[in-house]
Amino acid sequence: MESNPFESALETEISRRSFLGRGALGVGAMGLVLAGCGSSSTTPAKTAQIGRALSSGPQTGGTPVKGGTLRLGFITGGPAESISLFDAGLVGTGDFTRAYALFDGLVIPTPGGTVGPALATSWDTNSDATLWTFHLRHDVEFHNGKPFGADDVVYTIQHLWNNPKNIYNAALATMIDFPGVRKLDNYTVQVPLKLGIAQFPSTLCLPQAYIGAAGTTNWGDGNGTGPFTLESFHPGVQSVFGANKNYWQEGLPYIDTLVINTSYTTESDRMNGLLANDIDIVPGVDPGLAAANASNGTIVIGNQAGPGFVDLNMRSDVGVFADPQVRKAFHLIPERAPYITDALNGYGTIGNDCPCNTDQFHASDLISVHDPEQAKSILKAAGHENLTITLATSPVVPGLVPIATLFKQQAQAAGVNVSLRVFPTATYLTSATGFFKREFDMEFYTTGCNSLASYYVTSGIKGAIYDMAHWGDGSATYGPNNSLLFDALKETDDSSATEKWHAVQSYDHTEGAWIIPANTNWVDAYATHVRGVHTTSVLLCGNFNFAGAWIAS
Amino acid sequence: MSLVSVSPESPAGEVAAAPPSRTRLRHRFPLAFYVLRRVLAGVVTVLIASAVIFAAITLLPGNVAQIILGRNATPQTVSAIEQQLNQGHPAWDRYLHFMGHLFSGHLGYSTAGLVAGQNTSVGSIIGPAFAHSAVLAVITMLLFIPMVIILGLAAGLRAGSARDTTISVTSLAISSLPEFLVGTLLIVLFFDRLHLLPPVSSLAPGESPLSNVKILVLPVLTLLLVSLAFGSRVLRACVADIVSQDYVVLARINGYSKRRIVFRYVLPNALPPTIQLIAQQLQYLIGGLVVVESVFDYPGIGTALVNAISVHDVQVVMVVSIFLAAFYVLINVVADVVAILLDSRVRTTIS
Repeated sequence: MESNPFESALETEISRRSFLGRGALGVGAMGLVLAGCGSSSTTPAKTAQIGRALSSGPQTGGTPVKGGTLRLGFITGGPAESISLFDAGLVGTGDFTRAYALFDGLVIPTPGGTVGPALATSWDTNSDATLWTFHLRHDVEFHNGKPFGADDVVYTIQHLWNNPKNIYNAALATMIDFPGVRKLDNYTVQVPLKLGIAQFPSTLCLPQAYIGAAGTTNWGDGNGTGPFTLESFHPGVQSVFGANKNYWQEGLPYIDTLVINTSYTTESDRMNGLLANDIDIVPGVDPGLAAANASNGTIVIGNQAGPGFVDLNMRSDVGVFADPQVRKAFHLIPERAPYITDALNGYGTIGNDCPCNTDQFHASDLISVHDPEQAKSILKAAGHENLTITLATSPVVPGLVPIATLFKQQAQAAGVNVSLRVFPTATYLTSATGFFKREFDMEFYTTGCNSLASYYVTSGIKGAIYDMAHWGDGSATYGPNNSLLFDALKETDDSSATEKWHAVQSYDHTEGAWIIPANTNWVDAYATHVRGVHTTSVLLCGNFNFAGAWIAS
Repeated sequence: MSLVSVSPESPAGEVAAAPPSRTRLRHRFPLAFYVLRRVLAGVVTVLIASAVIFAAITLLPGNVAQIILGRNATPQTVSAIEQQLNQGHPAWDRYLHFMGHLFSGHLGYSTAGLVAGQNTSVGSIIGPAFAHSAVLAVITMLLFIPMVIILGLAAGLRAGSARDTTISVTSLAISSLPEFLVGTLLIVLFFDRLHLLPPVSSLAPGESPLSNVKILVLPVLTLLLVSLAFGSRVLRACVADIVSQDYVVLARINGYSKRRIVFRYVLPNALPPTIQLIAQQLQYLIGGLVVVESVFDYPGIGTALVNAISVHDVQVVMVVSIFLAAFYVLINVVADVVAILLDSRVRTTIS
């Protein structure tokens, strides 16, 4: 496995921008081709004219200035906010941002579902991707002065990652053979897997898979190797960080102080805070508010295609969706352009029912077709004419309820009567409202895991923590015993991996258990004096990368 | 008139000789007994309110562990947290446990904080929040009292005049608008258009709202506009009624100056209803603060309560609700007592 040499943060930004520029042209060109493929009876999804222009946000160039304070605003998590990697904390975006500031991972995500070096400078694996060796960075210190090495990685994997209280533990436990993790020397660690995963490093980009110091029991003290050190933490109000003077990235961070304000109760309060100069950045701004303020000269909006999406899940083990013909018909129902223009205010791209559209192996050639007449005839042949079904939804993230409403309207043309059940935000993702058990509901995927492997490991295989489709209980899978999926997961040759992932996604595209009508963009709002931090395809604010941020005078 | 009366059935001679029975004490200190009765009724009211609030939040679908962890809530994690929070115990047992701790002065730890694996005391959450809300409420009341008297007098003394009509119609129009709309309109005007005042009221930990008075202006203005409208209309009706009374007409015929009539006859008689009005205003503030604080993201007790309810943080919701209920009852008792002290007619009735 080839690993990238470490690049400075600014160099990384330039390469990301170049990549995104090509990506934008590619999408545009594809859209023009697709536009010519339409027919009178079916409507392929168009991508060229849909969605707002992409932007990385703040101005580029200029000489970075040392010093100053950068202030971020988040919706409050109240007393449940945490800085601990260890326990059940880290559930809100503010929690994640604190962890990104304090800790480092072995790798950082880069565009296309790939990763770059962080605490690991390189990595390699065997032919079936079941044994991984990570070569660690030298001359790295924790905030308390302790040198970083292989012992810290082994301890963290076996005590933090392998702990049921870690909310990412279920996914990590599916992959890693924890007892087999061992230190080869002071700067080399070997990680055996339970199954071959060629994109395994990309699954380690969440802060729950970050690295702490060996022997740590109180993870709440924030002793990491990250660019910032903890100065104060007031859950639900504010946390303050100072620059890590011994940070391993030479010359970074530029700012002296990072303030994470988690006192806002609504999205409009956050935006008002930015407009009133209370804060400098709103990571993950509401699309409606971004659209309303897009031409406001006092702020700039960063808007990049990301791996996130909203989806309609069809439970495949019971009820009507156990019949693949019904799922096939439902894939033909959505007319997708309005999902982007109306429901997401232009901050998205058309989905093709295949997840992680920014991954290098994403099957972007598969084009979803809107054909309600064919859907109607498939349903009739399957004995489900005039089908009535309830779709559960909630305003838990922007766009979900509007998309559900659009689907309900469009389904009528296919003879399907959809009734909406809108649940409150607080309880939508709980068993109290039937979460994980509902026959037909809406979900969303917004995370730092930007590869197909990270998606399918957490959502697509038996025992996955977000197995909304209940594939594990159903008969319809990716080939006998999921062989299609497992073959794709372990394929280390990029050319073969492209073919194998295409086979998996073709299944999802035609009769899979989720309809992905829209991919959501990463959208951030910045004050005009912010420099050195940009919205990229990997995560909000360039993977919450504030080490390179600086304040223009 | 004396506050002490003797029961007609009791011979006067026996009053001094007999031991002071409860009936006699009641007759000797009627006001004290009245206050005591009201306080006891208030305590019972707060207890009933606490049980109702506990039942309501217990009956809400979902629990705090599921809500905070969301889709990350594995059955094992939720089960472990529920055990930690005594969720397996019967509701009545948890209620009694909570009340026992409360009476012994322990406010406990935030339930949501415990889910996240940290002990965040309820006191550390609601202490600053109560202080911030108190600043808002006190400033509002300090402005409300003189302004409502001025507006009430201005309208009531010239009932039917153009001035009265202007004040009454304007106040009626404003009082018909909900707080969140008034607040939003003020944000549009003073922030979006004029760029004069901030639309949100962020405070750093330990920072007093008085250190940045700008953040107080719009919340206070919203509370004032909504409450002044109601208050001035009540006082205007009261003043208009008093100025038509015979003794005021007689004073005017006798050539007393307007100032003397207002300060000697009108205002003193308008005082008891004004006290009741202030009490009502304070009670309104309990609810009004919740809405206004939410509009301006002001870090007060209303915001703390809304945030706690949204994640079913039982401990914080219970403590805040009981404090607010107790405050509500306390205002009622104090207002009644002050009204009794100021109004001889009510004192006679009590006696």
